[in-house]
Amino acid sequence: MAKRPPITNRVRELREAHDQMSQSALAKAIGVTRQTVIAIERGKYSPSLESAFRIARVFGVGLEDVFGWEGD
Amino acid sequence: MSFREQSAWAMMAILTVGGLWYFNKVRAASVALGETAPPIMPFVIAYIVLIVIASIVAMSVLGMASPEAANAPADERERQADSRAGDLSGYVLGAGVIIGLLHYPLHMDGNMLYHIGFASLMLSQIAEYGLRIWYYRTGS
Amino acid sequence: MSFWEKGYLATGLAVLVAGSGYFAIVWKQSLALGSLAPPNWILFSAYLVVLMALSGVSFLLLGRAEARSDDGPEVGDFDERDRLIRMKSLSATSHVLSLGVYVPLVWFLFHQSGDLLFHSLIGGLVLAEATMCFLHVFNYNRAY
Repeated sequence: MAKRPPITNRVRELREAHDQMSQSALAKAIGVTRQTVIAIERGKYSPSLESAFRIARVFGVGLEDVFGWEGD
Repeated sequence: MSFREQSAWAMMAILTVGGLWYFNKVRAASVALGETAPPIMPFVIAYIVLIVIASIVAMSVLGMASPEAANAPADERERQADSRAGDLSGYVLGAGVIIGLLHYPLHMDGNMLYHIGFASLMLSQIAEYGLRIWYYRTGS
Repeated sequence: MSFWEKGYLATGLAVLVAGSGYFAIVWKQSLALGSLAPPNWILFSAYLVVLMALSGVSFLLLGRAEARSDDGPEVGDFDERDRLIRMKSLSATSHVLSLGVYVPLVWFLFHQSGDLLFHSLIGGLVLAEATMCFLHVFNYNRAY
């Protein structure tokens, strides 16, 4: 299994805090598939900078409120 | 120009010159025989040795000119460009092999099938380095 | 499992089924002839048609099945992660394909049989195509 990217995220937490927004709704809002949202939430995929900004904008927060760095 | 782009240019030039030399020999042999020449072992070996030596010399010269860049691993942009180039060069190879396979049942010329396969490999390698240069320059 | 993941899994299996069918027929013909059967257009064309039909039908059936599920609107969508996975899988496949061409070519230098070269190149293509499909499935399940 490949090493996970050293990036953490609060996508699931933010989604649930936004009226239990579904993964499909978030996927549609940022222009990716639901499987990609699942992969992001599981920490198996680091989204592009564009998608990262789109996610932050959907939740009305800053980029660093969604994504964090856990590496050295 | 980055070290990787310089390497790609060098490899593309070496493969092109080597390929032209090899197929010029095959063409001359075929004309002399009056049919497609079989693969000629000394030329195949000479081609491989030529490519290997020329690549080592080119990489050593480029490496000496910028040792730090030569030792640095590819960055994310370069890795992406390399992947895309590898992806598309696979199509060149696949198309060449399929052309050879479609040609063979019509002419039953195994030597021609060999040469088409060999040419496809050469072309796909040349295409891979050419595409790398293209993606390094245009951004991927 | 996404639409594409299932599609590639089904196509990988279709490639193996069609490839096995092709080589089973060549094997039978060769046994009947007492030597390696020469390639023929009909068998090669039938192999290509069966391969395309099987992979086309699998994607079509999956599309219909997915359209009835919760994933409906996503059927056929291809996003940045799909593109990345495709690029990585195809890039690795090109190495397998190169190997699948190199080995038969080197082998040809020793046996000089055009028929054997033909069949072994088809073997290389089958191997590369199946690898491509299974690499997609593998890459859909690994982290980046």
